Amino acid sequence: MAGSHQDQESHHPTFRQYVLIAVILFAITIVEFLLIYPEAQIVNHLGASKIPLLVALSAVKFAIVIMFYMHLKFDNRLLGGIFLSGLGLGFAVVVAVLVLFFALQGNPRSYAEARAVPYEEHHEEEPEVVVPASTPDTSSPSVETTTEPSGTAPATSGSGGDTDALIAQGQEIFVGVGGCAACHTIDGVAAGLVGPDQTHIGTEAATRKPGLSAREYITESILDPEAFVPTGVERALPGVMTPALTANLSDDEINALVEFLLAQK
Amino acid sequence: MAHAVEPGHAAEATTTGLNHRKLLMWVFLGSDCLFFGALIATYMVYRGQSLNGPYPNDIIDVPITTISTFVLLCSSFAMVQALAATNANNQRGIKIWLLATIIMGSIFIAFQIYEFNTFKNEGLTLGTNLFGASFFTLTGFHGAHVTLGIIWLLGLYIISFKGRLGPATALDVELAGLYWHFVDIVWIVIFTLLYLIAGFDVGPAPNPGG
Repeated sequence: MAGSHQDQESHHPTFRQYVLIAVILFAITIVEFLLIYPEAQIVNHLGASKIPLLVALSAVKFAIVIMFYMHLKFDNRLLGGIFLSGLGLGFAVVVAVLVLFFALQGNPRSYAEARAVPYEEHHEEEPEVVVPASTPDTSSPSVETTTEPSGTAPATSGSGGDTDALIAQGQEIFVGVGGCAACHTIDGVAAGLVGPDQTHIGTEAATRKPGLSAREYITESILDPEAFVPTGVERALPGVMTPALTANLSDDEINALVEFLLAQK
Repeated sequence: MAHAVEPGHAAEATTTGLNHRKLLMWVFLGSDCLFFGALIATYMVYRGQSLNGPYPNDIIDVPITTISTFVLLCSSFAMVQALAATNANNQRGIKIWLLATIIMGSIFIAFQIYEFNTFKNEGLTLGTNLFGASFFTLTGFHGAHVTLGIIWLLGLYIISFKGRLGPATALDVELAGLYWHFVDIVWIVIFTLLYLIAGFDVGPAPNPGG
């Protein structure tokens, strides 16, 4: 606490002083606004150093309000102590949480992604893609949700042979357990920004690598992404896609995924 | 000038020498710092982590919010004047400044309703992305605080017409003022962090690590 007035005499500011305080608060806000407003052209000269400046300016405003408007400067020190304890504790919480997240791996997203359980969208209306043989009682009115996290073994024996079902399953893998959708874009399916756009991969794949059919090329690119990188394919972050990313998929799942990608004409 | 602690008041004799209501108010404000601290920390952790838009840069309107920030600052000034008028037993001043505070607080809330509605029309809701979730939670709780403050001040405004506000009951106004100024300083922090600093955030930065 700054003021050491132990006496209970209040030294409340006068009307003029309150007006002055209000004007100071306004002026600081205007300065803050000009600092960040693009048309003011100040932002370009300051760059990143404007952030500590903004924090400092608002800290000054904060201090002015609690000292004068809230009378902490003139009031009993115990009240200030109580409030500043809460404020300090709150500030410590903010710092602790930020440190916890940002000091872990440098990047909270990579940290979270490495540990994430893929989110699977829940579609009530969607036709079941599970092999019909496994559920003979499909006419039952109870809508069983088989779109539960199917990380380990979705009942795919491949015996169905139905291409449409495989494509549907492949799409589920693309947006689900495969995790493809996090980086790749397919119009209407996914909007990833990191990897190449796969909207027309079914057409493009046929001519990508000499000697490989579209199916062979896609399969190879999933199992060993860096085996062959065609020229002219836009990759935001080369080297991110590794075999480890697809290692969790079973052969049947890869098969369905390939079938789905082949259908992206 | 009325004092929070009148030496002759037997009812006010406390071990700390402080009025219990005032002490409690400060304890509450101190604890509310933790509440907003947690929400602000959440926003900062999720900042820039949204995988789909709209992103802050697409929809945050800093000039409009600067105006509403001004209005809230003005309302704090009016609140201070309301307390000064109460201490001076200026009945007309009490009513005018309380009403001014209420109106300016309501204008701030109107700006926020307009902002939230615009965001909703632009496709940002509580469930759209991390930005929407953390933004609406933080600013929404602040708006709820302001709304509560307006209701509190309306109560005082009604009481003022019965002539029950004056130096003897100045603490009633002072406590409402403390709460009101606290809501103001929370907004100073939110405005700086969410609008001035994070208001121009664009989409997610490409993931640099595997």
